[in-house]
Amino acid sequence: MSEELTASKRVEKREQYTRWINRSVGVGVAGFFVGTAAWMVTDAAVALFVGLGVYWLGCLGMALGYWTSPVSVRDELQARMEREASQTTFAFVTGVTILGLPADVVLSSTGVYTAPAAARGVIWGYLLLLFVFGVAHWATKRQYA
Amino acid sequence: MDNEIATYREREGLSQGALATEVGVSRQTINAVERDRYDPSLELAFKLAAYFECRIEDIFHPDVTLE
Repeated sequence: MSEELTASKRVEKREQYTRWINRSVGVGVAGFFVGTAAWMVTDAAVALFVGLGVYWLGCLGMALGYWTSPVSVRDELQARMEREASQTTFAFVTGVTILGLPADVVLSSTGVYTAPAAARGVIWGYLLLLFVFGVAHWATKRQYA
Repeated sequence: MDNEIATYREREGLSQGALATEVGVSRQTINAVERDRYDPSLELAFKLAAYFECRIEDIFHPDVTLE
């Protein structure tokens, strides 16, 4: 929290940086679509690369907006809503992994059923995601120790 | 948490958006607090009390009992 900014200045800065972030994302996504459309018309691969470059620049602009903002871009209710949505997502991912991973191992090992590669990729990808969460949780916990 | 934010705000002749700007949050946050959908952070509660020049207990009525 920046104590130097007045409350109204904080709101102004939050809106200013949110606009920057939204515009960056918008320009990046639009650039990617325009590049793809140009490639479909001209068949020039360079159009795809230019579109990808614009998209990455948009992502960079978004990240810069988050990093350089002097105030939290989300206000406390928005942060709370994101946290609740994250908890729901985490519960879903955990449930799929707990139920699906052992089932995948048993069924594929015994030859009873082999799930499609995409489904197996999702389940094992979720396991990786839980591992990332574990590391992030450990790092966060250290900040409060 | 039951609260008197709307009463205090209307007494000052403020819109939700104007109050939100005064305490540095979004209009949606003030709306959610007034409708008892969201309990504000301690920081926001203190800011609201400071803005209305009253104590936190005057505007928030938590249902807290110690066992």
